[in-house]
Amino acid sequence: MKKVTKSLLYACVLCLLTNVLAFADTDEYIFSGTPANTYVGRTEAPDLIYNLDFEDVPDDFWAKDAIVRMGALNIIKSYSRNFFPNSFISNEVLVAFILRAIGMEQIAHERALALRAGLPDMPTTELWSLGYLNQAMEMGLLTQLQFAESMIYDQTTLDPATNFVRGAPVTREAASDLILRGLQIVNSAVFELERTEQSIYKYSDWSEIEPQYVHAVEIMSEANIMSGGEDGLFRPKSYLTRAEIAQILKNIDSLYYPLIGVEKKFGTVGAIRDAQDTTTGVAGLNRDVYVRNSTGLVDVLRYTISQSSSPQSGKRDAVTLRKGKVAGLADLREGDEIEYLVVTQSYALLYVQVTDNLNIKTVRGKLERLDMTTGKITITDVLSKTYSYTMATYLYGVEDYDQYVIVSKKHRNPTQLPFGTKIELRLKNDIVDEIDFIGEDILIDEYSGVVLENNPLLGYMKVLDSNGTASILRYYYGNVKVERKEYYDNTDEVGFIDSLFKNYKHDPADSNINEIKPGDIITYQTDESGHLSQVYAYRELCARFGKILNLKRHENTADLLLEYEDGEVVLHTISDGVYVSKALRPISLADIQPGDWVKLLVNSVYLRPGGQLESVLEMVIDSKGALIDNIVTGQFSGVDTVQRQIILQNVKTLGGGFASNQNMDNRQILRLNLAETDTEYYYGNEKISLDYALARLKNFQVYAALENVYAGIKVRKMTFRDGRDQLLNPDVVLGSEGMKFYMSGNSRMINTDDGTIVRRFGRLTGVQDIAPRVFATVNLNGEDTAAVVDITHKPDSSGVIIARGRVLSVNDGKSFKVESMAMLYDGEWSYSPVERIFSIDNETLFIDENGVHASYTFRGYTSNSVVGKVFNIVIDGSRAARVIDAPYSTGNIRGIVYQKADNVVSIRDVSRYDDNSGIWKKLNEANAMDVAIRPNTIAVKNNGLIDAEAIVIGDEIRVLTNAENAAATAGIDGYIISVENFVP
Amino acid sequence: MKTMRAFFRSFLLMIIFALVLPYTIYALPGDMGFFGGVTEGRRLPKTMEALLTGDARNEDDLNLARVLLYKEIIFLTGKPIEFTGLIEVGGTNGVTPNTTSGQYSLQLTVYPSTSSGDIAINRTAVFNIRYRVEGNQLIKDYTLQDWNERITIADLEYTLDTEQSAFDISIIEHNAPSITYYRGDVSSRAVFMSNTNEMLIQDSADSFYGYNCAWSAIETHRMDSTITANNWQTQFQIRPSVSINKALQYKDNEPDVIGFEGNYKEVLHRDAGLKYDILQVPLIYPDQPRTGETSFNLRNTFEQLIAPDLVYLRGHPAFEDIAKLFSMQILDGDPKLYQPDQAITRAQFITALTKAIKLPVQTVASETRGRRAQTPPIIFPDVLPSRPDYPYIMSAYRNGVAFGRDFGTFYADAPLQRQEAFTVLVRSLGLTNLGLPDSRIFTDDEKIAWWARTDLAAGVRLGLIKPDGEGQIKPGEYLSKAEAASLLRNFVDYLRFGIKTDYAEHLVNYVT
Repeated sequence: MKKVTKSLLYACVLCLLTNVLAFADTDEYIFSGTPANTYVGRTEAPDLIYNLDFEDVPDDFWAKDAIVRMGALNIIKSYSRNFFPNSFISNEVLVAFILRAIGMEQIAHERALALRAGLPDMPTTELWSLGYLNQAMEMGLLTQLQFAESMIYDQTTLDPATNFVRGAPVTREAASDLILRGLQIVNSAVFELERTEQSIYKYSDWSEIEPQYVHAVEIMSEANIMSGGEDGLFRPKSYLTRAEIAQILKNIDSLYYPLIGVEKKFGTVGAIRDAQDTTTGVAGLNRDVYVRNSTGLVDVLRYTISQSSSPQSGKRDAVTLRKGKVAGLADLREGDEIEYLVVTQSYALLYVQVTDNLNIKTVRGKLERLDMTTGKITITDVLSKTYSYTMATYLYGVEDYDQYVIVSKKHRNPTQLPFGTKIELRLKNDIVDEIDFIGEDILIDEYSGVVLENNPLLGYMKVLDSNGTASILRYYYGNVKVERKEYYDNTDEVGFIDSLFKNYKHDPADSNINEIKPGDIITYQTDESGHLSQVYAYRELCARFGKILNLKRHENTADLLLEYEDGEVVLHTISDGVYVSKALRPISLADIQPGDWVKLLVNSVYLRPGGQLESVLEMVIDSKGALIDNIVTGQFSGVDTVQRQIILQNVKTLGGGFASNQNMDNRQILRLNLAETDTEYYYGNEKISLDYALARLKNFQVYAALENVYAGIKVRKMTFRDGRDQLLNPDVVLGSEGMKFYMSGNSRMINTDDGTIVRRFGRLTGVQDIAPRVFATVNLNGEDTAAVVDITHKPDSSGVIIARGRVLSVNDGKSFKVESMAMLYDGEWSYSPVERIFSIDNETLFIDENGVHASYTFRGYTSNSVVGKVFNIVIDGSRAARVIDAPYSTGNIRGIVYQKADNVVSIRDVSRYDDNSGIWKKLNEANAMDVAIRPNTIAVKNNGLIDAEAIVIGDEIRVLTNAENAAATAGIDGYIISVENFVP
Repeated sequence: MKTMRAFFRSFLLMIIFALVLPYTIYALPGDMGFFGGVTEGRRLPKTMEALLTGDARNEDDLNLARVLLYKEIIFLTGKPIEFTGLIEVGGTNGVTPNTTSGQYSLQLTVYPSTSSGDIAINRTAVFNIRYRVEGNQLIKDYTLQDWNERITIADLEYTLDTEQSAFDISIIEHNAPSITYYRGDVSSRAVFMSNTNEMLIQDSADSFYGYNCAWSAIETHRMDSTITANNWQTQFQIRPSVSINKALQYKDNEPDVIGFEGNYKEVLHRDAGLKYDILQVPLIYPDQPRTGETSFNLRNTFEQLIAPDLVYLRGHPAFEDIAKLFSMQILDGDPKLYQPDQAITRAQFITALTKAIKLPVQTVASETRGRRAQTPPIIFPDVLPSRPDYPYIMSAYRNGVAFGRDFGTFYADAPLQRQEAFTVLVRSLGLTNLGLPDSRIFTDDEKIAWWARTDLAAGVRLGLIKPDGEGQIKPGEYLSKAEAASLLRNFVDYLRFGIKTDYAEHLVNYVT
């Protein structure tokens, strides 16, 4: 016998080894760490497996799992090859099941023995159910009357309707009552109901339920232990079948498992490992099934075959139900999702059920209740049936003192869940593993998409929906309600429904179908015939920043070549209707210069994957930023990497206009800040890196364009050159050819390259802007290469027209008339006796020696009347921009500014125009003079009126003073000052 | 047992700082003072401090008090006059971590320094600030308690009439995993009496924006103001901006006989300045220049970073990217195990990202909160506390950066897909909502997973992601370690400079 079993053993080993491989494909870490629990099968299992494979329970029987499970737990015992699933349960059998379920089996046996010992030898004492019935009576499950009735020998005398006939089949309603009471005996708190007697109304046969059973039926159906069929009938008077009781017992298993020391666990088989254990006299073979359970830890289910002389040898297995077949642990496969029952104390494995993935269900219902302590979620369906499910452990919990539940993939506060609205639960093995929010019923069919085309004349629109399909929508012009939100409309005062509360206020969003343009995003509804009934459109915008490279105007549009901040170059066509502004004022497209920085409001629409349509809606021109304030030259002597500064020696400034408190000229050493990311370095024509310059170009001549950003002065472009610097006189460019150009007064061609710093009206641009007729100041380096080309306006003062007139009459606030006046040309007054009218407006300034005073003081009446007085007038067309009370200005004086103090400008190289001889004569020995600037001084520079601050050192000015000072030599009052020579 | 207790005690201190703080604040909003002035800005914590205290937040930052250089443009005389002085920020400590509401006080004092000359502002403003936390947003409401001001310019003196003046401020902060954004609005009226008995009323409306993250911080104001005096009025707009950012610089070593070739330095750079535009010049000075600016000349500070041994990578195109990440200690461990052509796993990328954005991380011991019996929470079955990267992955999960798949496994050691990488980056910026879910930007649009769509669209809008030459994004392809290093380095650079453009140049340079 031993030999036979030994060979059998080895045969089994061979089978095992060839069948299953022991690595863990899906769960690589299943072997890391020690398993939390190891459960070993039972020796009774092989017999149980054989016994539970009933012939009359097919594989797909609906209660197969329940039947096999209850058998494995020894709650329902069966002694034949048949289970008789559809035969009815009798009262005594039900009582026996209940007692077994609640762990009273042993006690019932003992009671039976005790009773049999004490009672005389009666036929009833041989009853197998004696102990159970008696125990039930002791526990109060059966009344004494009921027990007595059950003990009556001749049961046929009893009436099942009124007496407790032990062998009679149990009705469903009676069964529900018995089971409930049985459970409540052990745990009185079980199934406490908050509300009573509402659940049974969902059964259409609720009226047939006996009143004394209503409470029990209510509870059992509410808790989903016993429920009606699909037809909504509870069938209270039907008899309970064996299969049904098995299922019921399975449904309430979590209630009595603790009583019998059993635990139900879930998990996934991660790996199966075979091991052989040999010691003297004992040969053992283990198959360890590694399971990742639902709390994330690893359990091991062990199937052993051992061969030894000890009585514990033999197979230890567990009843396993897999795909409808009753088998053992050897049938488990990696990846199986299992539910397993274990005895907590003894680590015995009782039963394993492999759940198919088909056991994933989705249920929907209104969220009713959520219990964070038990982890149960309750929903109600359309028929008002409630269902309670347990949630998987990872769906809820406490984190950082906050409770959370995961709904629609986000952590949410359990008190803020959408109670009363529809949710969808995904159930895996009847455990909720995902909760999704559905919401209330959909009332309207609304769609959205992007407009590709709109043709109001033909009445159709082409719309691209979110799946990428384009569809045609038709409409009847005039029948569609359209609302379109412009991007600048931020407030919607009227709201969605216009006609509430008699509201006829102007709704800026009201529009018509004509206004829907390609690129609009619409939400629309259609009527029964499929035509559009309502459309709501808006545009999605984003801001883009870039530099204008080139601008080309056409009749109604302009082509704009732009470089975005990230270097992408795009071409946009701007129509005249696009709003362009600068410093908060609208400007026309003609005022945009290449080199300007712009902020665009762009609407971007993807017509097909990768196909983008961008349209510009608005442009804002940078008012000051990116202006090159200064261009310097010097010798490169090093870099401070930490402070990000360049060190230059022997620095000279080339560009004009610096921040007034800085004087950069003739510095021996100057430190300049580098921009963090976008400073450009050139060596002649080639673009280089700063490291190259540090390595090779020390002491080279360098030209740097300095930008005054909000954070200070930074170097924007730096070019290193080999040659010597030479400044040319500012003059007009006569012609250009490719990269060369020539100026008037000099016939030779000047080369340019990529490193040439070109500044046009203060903006850094490129060589393409050196065109004929621009006025430029050029620095040459080497013989014929331009290092710096600074394009400016030709210095000109003729734009400011100054006249002097005697007031004849004043029309308060509107205009005044002069009887005669003189115009200032080139320092001389030319007189004309003609009357002229000048209009005045609220921008006209009235200035006298004390400064600006209010316009109402300029009037033709009262003792302060100005009629007859003479004023300097700055003319702007037919309007007076300034009306200034100043003495007659004469005495032309010219000089170069060398010093500035508070309102006093000191000039050198002074010469005075001698009216008699018509030549400029040098003035005095000291050759210097102070010119005081008064409140009523007119100062002109670059065709514009300026402040005293704008006169800088180096400017050559021409001064007209008053008659008293016409011959003075030291200090004069300057009443009209014009800056003649534009010094870059 | 005793050593364990001592261990936990020292971790208790760490818990106070290292518990998941809903936000880490560096430049506190309003350091510039709400008066249209600009300060030099605070400093970001150095890597040294971050690594030593185990928290990317300087202990000092918990304390509000500061004295900073300050500049302001005064328009009260009709012409802009620049004031250089100091501002002292004081009061009780700011928002208390882990509370949902509370209050504290803020005191701003402006006073002249030795470089002020004869222009002086003496101003004290005290606010009581109440705040509340709603999810990941914080609202702060300021109530003015006291405001005194006296401005002296040579012989002129302007004194604030406190009773007629008013100041209202409210700020909203929004916390994303890697960055905190905020926006505030100020509405104020200041009524001055001059010593020549002239009354001037200054009405201002100021909106300001700012953000702070581990690599940069910035705040920019746009203040529109009018001044009405007896004889003249003026209207102007001031745009001050302070930005602080960290940059990396490499320096080779000169001697040959030295154990490492060269290393990176982290340089802290500050830009602080303002621009103003006078939209309506006062009549009394009709010809003054209409724009102007002022700025601070601030010094950079620096610190050395480690020099990892990457000799084996020399010549590889991703050498510099990998070297930078190792220097910043975003990638850790033996550099030789970081083979550039191998795939990068999800866990490795998330860990590197968590370190890059300096998310607060709880170590396993502190998670048990002093009771060893309690096991740390296991959300993902393949991310167990025994893994060294468990705290980082948990931190990423808690802050909404990475979720695993279907709340099941994290698939920690599976290779990382491109769409996963981009999605996680955009999520950490909290900018998912910038993307339109319907846009089909890429030609291989149908291969993009549903959960990645919005984030990829947001990434394109931000300029982080671009389709390749054929318009594809190749969402399902795996990232190699070299590509991941390059991506992370670009991301950190974006946090250094990229966001700054939007807050500084875009707001300061454009008058709107």
